Amino acid sequence: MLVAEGFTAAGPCLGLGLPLSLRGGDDEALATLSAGLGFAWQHELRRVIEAAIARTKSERTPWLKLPPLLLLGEPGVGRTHVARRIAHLASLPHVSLDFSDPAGVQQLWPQVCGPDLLLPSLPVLAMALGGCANPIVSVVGIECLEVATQHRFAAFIEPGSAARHVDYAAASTVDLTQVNWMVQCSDVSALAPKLLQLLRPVELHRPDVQTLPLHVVEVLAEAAIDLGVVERLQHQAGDALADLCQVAARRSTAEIYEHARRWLQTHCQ
Amino acid sequence: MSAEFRSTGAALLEAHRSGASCWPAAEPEEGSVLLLAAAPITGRDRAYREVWRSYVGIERVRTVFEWMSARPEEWDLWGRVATLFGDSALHTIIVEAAEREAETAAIEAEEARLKEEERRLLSRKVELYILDPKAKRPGLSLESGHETKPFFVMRFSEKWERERVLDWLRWQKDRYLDFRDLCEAEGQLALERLIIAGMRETEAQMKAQRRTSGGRRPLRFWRGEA
Repeated sequence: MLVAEGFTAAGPCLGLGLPLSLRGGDDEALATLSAGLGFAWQHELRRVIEAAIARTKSERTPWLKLPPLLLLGEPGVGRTHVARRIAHLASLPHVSLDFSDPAGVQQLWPQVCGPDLLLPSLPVLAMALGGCANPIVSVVGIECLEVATQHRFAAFIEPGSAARHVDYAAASTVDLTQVNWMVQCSDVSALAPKLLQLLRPVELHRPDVQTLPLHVVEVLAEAAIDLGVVERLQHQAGDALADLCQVAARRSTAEIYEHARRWLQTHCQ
Repeated sequence: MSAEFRSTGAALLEAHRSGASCWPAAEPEEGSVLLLAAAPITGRDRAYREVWRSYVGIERVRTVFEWMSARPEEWDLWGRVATLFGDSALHTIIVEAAEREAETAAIEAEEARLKEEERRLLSRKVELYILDPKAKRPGLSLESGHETKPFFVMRFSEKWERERVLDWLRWQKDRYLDFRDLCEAEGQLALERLIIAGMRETEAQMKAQRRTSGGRRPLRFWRGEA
């Protein structure tokens, strides 16, 4: 897919002028996503993903396009974990945009400041560096933006404006319509109505006592993939699970992930 | 845990699914255990797919299958482990754990058997004890080898009374097990009466044969002979 149209003689930079791949929609990727999705206790999430898989199959589009998701749930419930797992299963690049950090706003709307280099916005960078037109972009801390800024952000998601996103650093107009947005939020009342109506809400829940091991095994898999030790973990998966399950109760997903990383670094590296 | 057979060429033994998305199965003739999951494809003979399969041998397949079947709360987790980490991870979690547990159970069963055997042997031993506590009445007791408390205690006002009974009772070793049975069936008083009656009967017999000693202990020099 050609995503960028240059408005200088040099054309789009960072290879954006070349066709980018659209991923996650072939039979193998859909089968991997369908069989490997997990999250048995996240019924709403599973419904949304399964509907997207079914739509991709019925429309015969060879790439995965999720509706822009609003992942609702208390901090620590595993929103970023969900985004990263789906990205891994669908073989899509993933980036995080954190608005709770002032640098996050700069990542979306870079500004020239003295000698600082003007960079493309984060979704454009993800597309260019991932060579993929439909990356997953996790958005954290949306509540930290003022209503007017949220309206500006909505332009990245709204199909009409997203198709003609002007990026001065890339010297091009970039089509962002295939980007898979996952906006995280714990207080829906803090969202601007215009943004809210563009997003498909998905309520995420903490696992209960019975499903906690299922949550732990997903986080362990994420950490093992990140460290590249899935193969080495094979004979120790039981020990790792037993150790993590002991500490997982009442811990956030990020804390479980950190514990899993430490365990893997100690035992598998 | 109920199980059913389903014909798939080889006999397939499946655990009752109880609503789980994964469930264990076994092919006893092949010596393999499996984890199955409901398949989205319907209208076929095999409305399930294999998530995991491991060859454990014909002699161990039942043990591992029963171990798996007894843990329905783990089935979905095993399905995820197999999907995320591969067959070897689940082999470690299931087969090795099942075998460890089977070994432990076998050791425990053997220990219990030995303990029961020892208890059975000890229960066939009954010992006679002389009780001489300070500032208390003298007595005698009968105690089984497998118990820590005597099943029969007899108290006396004077030591010579106890010695008189002991002169007879210490030669009744062959009857101690019968004494215990009587005590358990009819109580201590019945046994006490039997002992006193037996002693008096023997004293009378020995007296008739002029084989008693004088004084308060007629059977003092008796050695159990008829």
